[in-house]
Amino acid sequence: MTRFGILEALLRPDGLVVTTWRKLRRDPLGLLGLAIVLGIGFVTVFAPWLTSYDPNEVDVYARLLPPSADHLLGTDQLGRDTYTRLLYGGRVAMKVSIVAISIAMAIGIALGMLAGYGPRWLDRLLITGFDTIRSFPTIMFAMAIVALVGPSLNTVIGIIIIASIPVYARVVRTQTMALRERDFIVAERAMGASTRRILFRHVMPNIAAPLFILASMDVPVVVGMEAGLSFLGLGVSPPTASWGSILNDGYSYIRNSPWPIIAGGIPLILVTLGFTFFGESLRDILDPKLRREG
Amino acid sequence: MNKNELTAKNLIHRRSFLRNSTLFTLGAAAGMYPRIGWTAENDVLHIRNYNDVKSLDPALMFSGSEGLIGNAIYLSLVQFKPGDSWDWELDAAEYFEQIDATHYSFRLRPGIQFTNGFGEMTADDVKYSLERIVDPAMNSPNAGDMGTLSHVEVIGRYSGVIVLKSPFAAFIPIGLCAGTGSIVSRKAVESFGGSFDIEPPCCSGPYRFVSWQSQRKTLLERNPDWEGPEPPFREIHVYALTDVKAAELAYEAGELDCTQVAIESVDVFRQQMPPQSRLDVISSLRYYWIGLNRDHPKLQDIRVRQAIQYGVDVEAVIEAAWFGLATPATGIIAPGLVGHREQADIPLKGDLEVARRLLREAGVKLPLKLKLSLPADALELTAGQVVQWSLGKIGIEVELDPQDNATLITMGHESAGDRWKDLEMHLQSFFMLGDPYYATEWFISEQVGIWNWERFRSEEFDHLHEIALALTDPAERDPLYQRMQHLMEASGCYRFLAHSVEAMMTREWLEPAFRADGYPMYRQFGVANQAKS
Repeated sequence: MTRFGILEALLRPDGLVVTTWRKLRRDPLGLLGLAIVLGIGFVTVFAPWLTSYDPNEVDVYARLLPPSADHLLGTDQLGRDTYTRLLYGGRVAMKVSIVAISIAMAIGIALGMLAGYGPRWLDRLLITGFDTIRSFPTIMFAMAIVALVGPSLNTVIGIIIIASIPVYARVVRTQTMALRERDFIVAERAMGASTRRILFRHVMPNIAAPLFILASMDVPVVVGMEAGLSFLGLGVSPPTASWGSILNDGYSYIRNSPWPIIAGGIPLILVTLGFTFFGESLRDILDPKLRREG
Repeated sequence: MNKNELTAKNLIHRRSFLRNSTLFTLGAAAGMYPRIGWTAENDVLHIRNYNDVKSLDPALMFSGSEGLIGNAIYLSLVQFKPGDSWDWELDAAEYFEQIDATHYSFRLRPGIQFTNGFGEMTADDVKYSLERIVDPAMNSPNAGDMGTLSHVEVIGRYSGVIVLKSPFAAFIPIGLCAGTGSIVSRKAVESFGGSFDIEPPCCSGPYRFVSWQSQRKTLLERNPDWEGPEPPFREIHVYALTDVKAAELAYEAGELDCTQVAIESVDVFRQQMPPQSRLDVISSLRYYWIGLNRDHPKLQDIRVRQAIQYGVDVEAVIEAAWFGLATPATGIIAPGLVGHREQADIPLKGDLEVARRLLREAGVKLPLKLKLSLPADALELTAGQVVQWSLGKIGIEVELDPQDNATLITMGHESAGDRWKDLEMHLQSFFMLGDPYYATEWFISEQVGIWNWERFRSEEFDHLHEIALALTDPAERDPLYQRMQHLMEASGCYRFLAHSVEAMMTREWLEPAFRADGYPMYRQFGVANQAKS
């Protein structure tokens, strides 16, 4: 089947995309989640066109203003427009999520398939490595890394990648182990197919759906980690806007104005709800164990 | 129930949980209001201290928090008067006079008793108390406070003469009034092996030490052996609360009768004052500045340093970090002290044109990237971000490098390794006492690599520091200290920012007493007449 053929198959009336969309339309929470996800994607991509302010422009005489027509979500302690900083903070959150999840998933898939399909000793070795990483509390691990290399966006991404690899790798390993003794894999092996062909042509397509669901559900976790690290001063450096640093600034001045805290909290709640509702709806649709029809 | 039904039910529960918890959180946030109330027993004072105490031995106590307690339990020959001046008054002495530049005569009030049966305070106790501070064997961190103290001659049971090796203008305000000059009992301290940590072997003030709980509180009570008027409080509970926001909440919850409040909370409290409370905003002597390490390759050209001086908008920094409450610094010596300058050489708002011209003349390739190390506290971070924005206008990209205080405090110390070589700019503040000597002593050449992180070296500065120290006439000292601050500024190593403020909240039933820099003087706290009746 050609690549074009796969696309055609996905988009035909009984293909995956169309059937998924048909089912999603019948799930209001799933639809709400999708709307939130698309909305967040839109405002972060088009942030510069959705505000007339510079996120780092200081105006100390306009500090801690409440919401108004000029400043939709008020201003922070330096008079910076909170709405603008939220939009740009979203860019940071999305960048971290996309980059960190993509890299963690790619490494997780490779290591997970190796563990699940490779020799026993390699499985044990990798599992020990995953468990070792998972046993470190993420914040403690982050503090240690930041102490060594200093806080920055790349540091945050690196920390999240390292912390997330075992999550993906374990899922992939379990799925691969379940698949390796299935008839069609055994048949492929008997026909002399290479390990590479088995893993990439037969195993990977079968574990893609749960991984996609996992990645979707992982976005709020990663966004929360980035915000948490930035809140603690272990994430992006000032003046870069991040939802966590907006919350941190707001926390310091909460008695003067609650708006930065409220404004900084809303996108985190929306991301959590949006991706969770959407991800769970996808799981209902795509996970064969939960599929109620077809 | 099959497995699929069970899973589906769990899914619904999770969603319900998310939805309900969101609604609950929003509802709780909307309906939540702090409960405000207070209880007051007029003979017990609950007060916040800045930090926990490490030692109450006058030779070993080093922080202001220890000095606050020391003020209540020990007497000195003389002490600061509460109020907005740095005038002093007699304390344990009934007579105190400067005979000449190096001799001070005193006579103690007869009948002052040490607690725990250690008897009456005598001139020999004064001799012991002061001389042990400068005794090399004692290795007191406060030895510098005593300056050029040589010895104390005991003339009679209550009389003596303090002898300095050379004139030391700051001897009274720094050596005697600021806590190091507290008088302890020779017999008591020697019976403890010559020094002590927290629990004093005896006290001599109107209050005495009862107990100390680490990181929690120190309890004082009326001294039954006190021969003066009965102190107003049966007990003083001194709470070690480092976080000022936590202290504010404790005050509002009625757990404290007096506390410092954060600068950013002043406006909030002024608009909505807790019931029966008063707020005093007092100028502090603590000074803030941006230091530039002149030995760093990026900052060796004085024009680059001067460009930074002209690039920083101090007015904006004060407005943002201190909500406009702090006094703009014209140097390191605060208003009201000898040597204070009315005006700095660099305009308060800076001058971007001059800054750009200086950078052009220096041939700097823009953007120039510099690192600003600063404490990771809200005030400093806010100030640092304004500096970052301010210097960004002239093409200097500042990376903020927030550090916890324990790490920051050694950054410029040569004894702490080679980190001083990487130090470029730092936002720093120093505590100060009521004599200009206490400010300038950290910037002499000898302090390079110790506290002089800018590595500022000026023979004229060092010379003036020595001369001013030996002079006792304020009119003669004043121009010397002004000149010294000019030299600091002209070196390009310093951009002076602000003299901070202390905001203190107290119950109206109290009559608070503060030193000129806003530090509470527990011993002088009283009860308002209305509350007494």
